[in-house]
Amino acid sequence: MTLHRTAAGARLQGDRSTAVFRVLLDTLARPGMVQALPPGLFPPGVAPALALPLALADLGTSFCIASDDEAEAAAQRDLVALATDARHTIPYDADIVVLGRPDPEAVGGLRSGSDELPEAAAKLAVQVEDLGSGATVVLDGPGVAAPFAVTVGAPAEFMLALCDRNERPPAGIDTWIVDRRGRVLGLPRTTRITVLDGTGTEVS
Amino acid sequence: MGYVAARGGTEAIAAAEELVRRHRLHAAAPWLELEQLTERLRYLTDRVMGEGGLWAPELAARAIRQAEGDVIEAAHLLRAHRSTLPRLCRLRAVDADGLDPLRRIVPAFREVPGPQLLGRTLDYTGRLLDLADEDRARDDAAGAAGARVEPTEFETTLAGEATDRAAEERSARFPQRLLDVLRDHDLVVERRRPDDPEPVDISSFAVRPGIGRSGVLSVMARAETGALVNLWYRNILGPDNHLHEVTLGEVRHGELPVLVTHPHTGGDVRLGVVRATEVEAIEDLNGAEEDRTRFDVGYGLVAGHNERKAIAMANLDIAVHRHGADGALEQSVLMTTDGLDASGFLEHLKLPHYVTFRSMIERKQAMRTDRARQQRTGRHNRGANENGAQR
Repeated sequence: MTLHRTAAGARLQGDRSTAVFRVLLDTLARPGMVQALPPGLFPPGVAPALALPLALADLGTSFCIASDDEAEAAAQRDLVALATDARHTIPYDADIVVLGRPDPEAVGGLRSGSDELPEAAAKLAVQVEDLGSGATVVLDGPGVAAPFAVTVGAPAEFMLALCDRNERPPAGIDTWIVDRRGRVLGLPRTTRITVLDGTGTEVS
Repeated sequence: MGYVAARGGTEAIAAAEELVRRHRLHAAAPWLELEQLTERLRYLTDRVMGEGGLWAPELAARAIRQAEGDVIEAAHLLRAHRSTLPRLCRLRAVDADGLDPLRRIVPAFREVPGPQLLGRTLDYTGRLLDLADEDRARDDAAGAAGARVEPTEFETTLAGEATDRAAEERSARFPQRLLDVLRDHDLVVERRRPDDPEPVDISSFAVRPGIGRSGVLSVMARAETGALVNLWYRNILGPDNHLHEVTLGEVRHGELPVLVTHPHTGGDVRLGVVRATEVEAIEDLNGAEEDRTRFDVGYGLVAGHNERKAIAMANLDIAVHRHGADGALEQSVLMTTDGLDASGFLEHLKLPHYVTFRSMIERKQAMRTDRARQQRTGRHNRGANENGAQR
């Protein structure tokens, strides 16, 4: 019953769904610019990264939620499935993937599309603690007026794994990093990411 | 093909948007109500719904109003809105035989099962601009409507005739198709397939040649009306010559039920109706490899009342089949008839192309410089040769 109540609260309809969609769109259009999800979007306890499947998934969509905490992941799967009617599947088959933490190995197992079918790539949301921490990266490419440095809340290993998957656009994985306060940073597959170490030197 | 991302000019863009919004909301004319659009400009709203791929008369009217009457822009708004809507449930597939006709004609045959029901059509109106006093014309029309006496013939049916009458009425409302009559006489090639594959959903999957008949039909159902009519006409009279003149079997406009399966009882639940236009086009097969003793039939089904588009669609359906699934005609249908695709590509030409054009100028200047150098070198070489010859 609690799950049903939470799912009902997490179901995004009408304007709320559109508002989340707008944030996701804007953050992809302006890579690295942090935007906040609309306040009071979900009941307490719902991870903000779930905004991606809750706003975009429906019964024609497949999704995957992966987390070290299997009990938490299972609860989140049930929640998203109940709220959206989307189908849960393995990472490689999923249209939408949510990672409970920035796990570099998990990125390797996602669909990234191809030159002919770039739209077949997964959309990825990664839950982090705080966008103000983690690796510092320099972003450049479409949507970036001039290269700039930003912290992304995820470790360098994760960012390097993402760089590997986005080496050859148009194939690649569009990614949103979401922190616990509901702040979102978008990294489309076309963004060139340079990962820096603590001294400001490029990590390769 | 050169593209350059547009940067800068944000203030000018915002000002242009504001100019559009202000003049749309504060024009020196009465506000256009949605009902005026849905009830008085029904062909327009139907067309926008068909090309937008969403049955929503009020939203279509809003889109037309927001786009200030630009049909493709309105269809774009509607299709973009549709893409943000979640799919809530799967509808039951509905047999088009269940279309409740508001209009039905069979141009191919006089004596057909069921009636020839002209209904509300512009086909027989003289193309004369009506310059009558509009107030008086509306008063006359209202008076005529009030004076009309509806026939009471069906209300006085004797009890014993009731069943026959009901069957007749049903037959009149859901008449057998001419295609079925032709099939009864074994005059149509068999194109039905024994399996029932899931149709391609073009709102979820990119359209590419080889997509199959359901995909081609879906693309045409959502195509821009003018583009489809033009493609049909080009193939009838133009250089492509993929089509012969065909005869129309059925032209229907009517209401189709929207059904879902009740999650608990398993029974059908009717959510409402959508209007659609359906056409079957009969073609005389005359190819060397074809069965010349039979006809073939093409199919068209579009949202709303849009006979022009449905007829073009049915004709092109059969032409695509006759001229090969991977041929040029299928490619034309799939890749060039979508209004949003075509106008989007065309409209983007108005965006700044400063860098690409600059590079084109530089290429030309470089070629000119190179040519001038070659000419100079050529003259020099020729001069050297001539001098050598003199020596």
